[in-house]
Amino acid sequence: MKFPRLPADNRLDAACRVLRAEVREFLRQELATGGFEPECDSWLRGFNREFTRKLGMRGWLGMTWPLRYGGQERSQRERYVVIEELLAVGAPVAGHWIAERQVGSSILRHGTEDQKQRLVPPIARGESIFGACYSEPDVGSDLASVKARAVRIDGAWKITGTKVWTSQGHNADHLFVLCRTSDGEGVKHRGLSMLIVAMPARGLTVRPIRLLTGEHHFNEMIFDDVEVPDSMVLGGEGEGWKIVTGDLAMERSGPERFMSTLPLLGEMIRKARAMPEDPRAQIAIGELVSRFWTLRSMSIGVAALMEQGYEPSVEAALVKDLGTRFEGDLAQAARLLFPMIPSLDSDDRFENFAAQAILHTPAYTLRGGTNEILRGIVARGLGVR
Amino acid sequence: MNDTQTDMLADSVSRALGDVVTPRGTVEAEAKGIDAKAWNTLRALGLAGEDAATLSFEEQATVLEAIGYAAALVPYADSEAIARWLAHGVGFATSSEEVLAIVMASPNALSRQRIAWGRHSARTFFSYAEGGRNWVAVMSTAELALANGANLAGEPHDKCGVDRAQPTEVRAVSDEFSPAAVGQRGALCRGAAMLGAARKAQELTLQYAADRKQFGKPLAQFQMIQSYLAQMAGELSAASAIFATALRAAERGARASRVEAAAAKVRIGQAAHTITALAHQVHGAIGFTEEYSLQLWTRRLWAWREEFGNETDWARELGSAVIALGPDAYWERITQ
Repeated sequence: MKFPRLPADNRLDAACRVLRAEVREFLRQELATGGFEPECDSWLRGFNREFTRKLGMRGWLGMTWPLRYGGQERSQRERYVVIEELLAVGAPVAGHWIAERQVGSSILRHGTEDQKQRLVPPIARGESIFGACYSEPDVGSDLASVKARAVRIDGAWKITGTKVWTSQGHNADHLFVLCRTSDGEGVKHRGLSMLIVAMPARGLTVRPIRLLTGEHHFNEMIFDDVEVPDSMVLGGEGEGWKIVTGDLAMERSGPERFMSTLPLLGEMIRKARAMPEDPRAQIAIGELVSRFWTLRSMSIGVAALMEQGYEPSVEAALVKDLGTRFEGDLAQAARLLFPMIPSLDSDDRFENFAAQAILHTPAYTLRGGTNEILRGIVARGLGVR
Repeated sequence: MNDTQTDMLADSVSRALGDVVTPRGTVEAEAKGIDAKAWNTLRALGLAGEDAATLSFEEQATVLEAIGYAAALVPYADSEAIARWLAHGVGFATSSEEVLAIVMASPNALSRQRIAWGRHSARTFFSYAEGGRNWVAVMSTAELALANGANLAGEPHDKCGVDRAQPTEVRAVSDEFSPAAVGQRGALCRGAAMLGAARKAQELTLQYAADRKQFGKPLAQFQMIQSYLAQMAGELSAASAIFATALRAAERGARASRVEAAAAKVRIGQAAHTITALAHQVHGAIGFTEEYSLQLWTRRLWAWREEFGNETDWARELGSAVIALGPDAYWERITQ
């Protein structure tokens, strides 16, 4: 595992400080004018097209992408500054999260010139929402065995099959669909392709899969002969597995994998501050901050590796395993430290955030690759698998 | 110092210690409380003694990691990285020939006090606060009437035979050398050595899992064992990452990097708990024996996590600093 020390770079550090101050000021104003309501797990729950567009207008989406595709050509570390500030306050970033985190970069890496020009700039403007269609009813952790099939017709493909857990599928402008386009001569990792479907699409049925809270973020996407032109196959036929694994490495690498419940830590600190000094609170909060700080150090190391052009899938898996457990442990520490009745309808922010954090607990260690799968990836990195 | 220079120093210390330190030798040295061959090797390299004072803290941390990795029974941290640094910082003369002991207590309150490496030291330094001021005192260790004792790693933690002692010299010192600053340096020294010991425990466990066969296949092929090994790698990476953050912050001075040091000692201590538990679980009963070497590193992790503040001490300190800052300023502090 390599987690490099960041090279000292005074100019970049100064640029990051300026940028951070700008983001904080923007968020302060948004909060003051009721632009959004902070919440835990805001990168899944917080869908807000208007807010997403505002970020796009400020150049805070697709920051690392080339200027000619709507990006800002800024560093991974600068992007890191923006996303960690957004997550820390629980801002509504779910609308663009998938497009900005992985889809845009995948298109830039694997797409044709035409695909890059048409699809990437709208993501950077915050005007294009993507849904990722990978999992299926019978295909979870074993992703290479997808069954949805795309069949060749004249100048196009027709997709048939069912996808599940597509976040924001009901709001999406485009879908990223992993399909089987051939049997791959018996090797299941071959014969997969990534097709891009423009919405609305004829033959597609979108059905909500409600969370245990009743919230609607996930969808079941039923494809019945949905037609996709040849020009919307990403990276060519048979490249799907390569694209999706690179895509998942990005999906697993970011600070949202340990910051989903961080707004609750802020409320714990606020509560402890309003009370007489209590060693239990000091110790509990100190332990959480120590773990958070560690994860942040590791995660910035992952961003630095990406900056160096290295694909840190093992390192990202390792951070995500530790980080998602931290997210759940934070909620547990909060409820044990300050007894309360967590409730989604509480007007006390601590009780409210605690309710959100607890009810979303199952997601942390499942989404984007279960911790069991992640440990398998780390074990392979150690050479024992 | 850049990464390459650090790597070169780490390499040369590791190689030098690798030539003289063996698991058997360390176990045997515990009776005397020092591995004289290892200590002389470090002295010959100019890493102990008056020359050692020219090393930066980062370089000393590199040496400590190598000592932890080798399980070398030497008083480098206490004598060189802490006591000698303190002595020079506050203007006490020292000589290359002497080992120096450091005690985080007043010479007026020595009841039940242990003196690490005391029996080998010529003089003992005391770092303490009294009457609202910071002090450093020094005296000959011989007058402390020590009786032999040891920590869990078999390092000398000799028992002080007097309740109070008369130092030969006492100085009021600035904040830079306050007991808080000395303790913080001590915590980071233990953290550095723990990284080395944890890395060795992990390597031994990986090797054992690959070599040892049960049910007709190596342990490493069992999914549960793979999961343990992955978890150990995660803990080791976590410990290294927060230590690097604390080390970099330390360049700003003790006071401005106290919360980072606190976070590091907490997290490294937590990692030590998980790594020692899983290393022994994977090794089975053989790891619990004197004969097999894993114990040299797990005992070190168990000992060092307590010294210069354990996880609770530092978590409390970090937590109280964070609470005092409040929900906005704590975030600004972490991301500064």
